[in-house]
Amino acid sequence: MFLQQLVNGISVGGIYALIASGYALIYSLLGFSNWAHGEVAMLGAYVALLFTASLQLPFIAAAIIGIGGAAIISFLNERLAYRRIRENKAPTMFLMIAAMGLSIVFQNGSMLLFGAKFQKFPPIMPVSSISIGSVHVGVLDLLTLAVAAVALIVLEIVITKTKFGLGIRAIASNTATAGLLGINTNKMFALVFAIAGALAGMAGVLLGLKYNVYPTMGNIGLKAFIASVFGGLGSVRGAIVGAIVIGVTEVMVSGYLSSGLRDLITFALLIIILLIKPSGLMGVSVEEKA
Amino acid sequence: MLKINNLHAAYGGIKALKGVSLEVNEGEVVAVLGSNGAGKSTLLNCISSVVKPTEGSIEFLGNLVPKHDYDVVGTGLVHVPEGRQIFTHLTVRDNLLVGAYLRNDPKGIKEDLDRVHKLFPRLKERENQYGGHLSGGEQQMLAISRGIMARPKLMLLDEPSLGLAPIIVNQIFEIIKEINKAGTAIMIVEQNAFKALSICDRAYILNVGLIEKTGTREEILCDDSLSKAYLGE
Ligand SMILES: Nc1ncnc2c1ncn2[C@@H]1O[C@H](COP(=O)(O)OP(=O)(O)OP(=O)(O)O)[C@@H](O)[C@H]1O
Ligand SMILES: [Mg+2]
Repeated sequence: MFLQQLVNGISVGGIYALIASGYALIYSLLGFSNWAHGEVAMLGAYVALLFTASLQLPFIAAAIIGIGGAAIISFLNERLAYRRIRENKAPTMFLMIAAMGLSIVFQNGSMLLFGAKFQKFPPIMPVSSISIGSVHVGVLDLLTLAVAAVALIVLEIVITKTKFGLGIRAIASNTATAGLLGINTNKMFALVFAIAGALAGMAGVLLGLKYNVYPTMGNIGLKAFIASVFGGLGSVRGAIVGAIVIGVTEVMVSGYLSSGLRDLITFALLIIILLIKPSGLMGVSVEEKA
Repeated sequence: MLKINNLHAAYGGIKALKGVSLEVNEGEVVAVLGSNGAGKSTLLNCISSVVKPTEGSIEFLGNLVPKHDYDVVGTGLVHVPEGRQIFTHLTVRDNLLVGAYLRNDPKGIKEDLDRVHKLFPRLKERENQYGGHLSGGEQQMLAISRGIMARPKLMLLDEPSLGLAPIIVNQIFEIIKEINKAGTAIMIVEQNAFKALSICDRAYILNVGLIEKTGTREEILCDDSLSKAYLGE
């Protein structure tokens, strides 16, 4: 029972982490909360659903199209909305408000387009759980875990070990100087939004598989936000750790106490962490020297 | 190699440059002197396309400077900005590597890293520390070194002496001389006029957006417009 819950919790955390890491990446570059990020996940799930349920494509193909679709939508958000605001040198608050607007447009748009009802992916697994000794583990949970782990490890390697990652970290630290040294910041922003979108799309599809697809499923972005604050705003690694802690806590509280207490305890945990370490679990504090 | 002709720049309605013309030749150290608000940083920002001039032209090696700031460093011109602007959340080593961002010659990059470490052994010792944890003087060394990593033909330096103790300033100016000897032309903008005049070949005095005086080092040193520009007589 406990092990099964733990796997379930980590897999839920993995889904949160896919959203939270992209959210943290965007925050680290542009300093604003991209409230439309959860909706990108939702749209990715709908695109995949459309291709597999209505157009009868194999699930894998539909999932890849869903992930690609989410990447494009995220890229377009930056290209058509956020970039203009940035170029007008408006305060970052405006970016956040634009993101809230986009989030509402996407939610209501999909309500109109797809209806408010819960939809399901056609079953993709022949069995729903496997037993190892006396422990039953959900196959979907294991799949989710594997996909999230691979995606996040690749992301981590790209950010810490590649030249592209060095460019991202440079922009996050000092955008103007990164430009002076030859980094095309607009191009990098576009790429980062596409990557974050793809990760969100992945989360959307996995979430849809585990539960349902519906227009407000993007509210899960709030969980990713909490995970990100928990881990240290702007820190991708922190967001991943925060997401897993929150996923496991939620599942354990629901399983052993009551699902009504789930959000209460998650927020209590967040507040405690912020009281002890205001920069979050893994937030770095490097002061600027004049 | 750098030719600036009748450059004007403004922020909103406020004119910061009102027709500046100047030149930097191969191998030279040229100083631009002036007090607070003279327009020195604006001038450098125009050269590196961070600020768009309202009038006039800037040519580097016979071509107009590119429209976007990120295309400028590729032409062989690097700007070491005012206040150092190092990447505080990156390690010293990563700061240096960002300086070489557009280069694709691992061997050359390695050579330049060694060269920088020889110029500033302190940076080698602190290779894995965050840039933000360096002292002010070390940060200035890092900012200059990061510029060297771009292998520039011309280096623009904005007030490298800012906020540093005299002994560190001397050390940094020695290094600037060495960088120049190794073949990089230097354009240095300073409030610390006497320090800048100790290493330059020629100088310009900028006074509220206009070049008030230009000449060789000796001519400027003997001229009283220098004290005027500073003391406001
Ligand atoms: N971003 C900006 N927005 C508005 N005005 C500006 C801006 N930057 C500079 N200015 C104005 O332009 C003029 C020239 O400023 P600039 O920074 O070029 O001077 P400076 O010679 O570098 O001075 P300092 O020695 O203090 O660095 C000043 O009057 C300044 O107030
Ligand atoms: Mg200045």
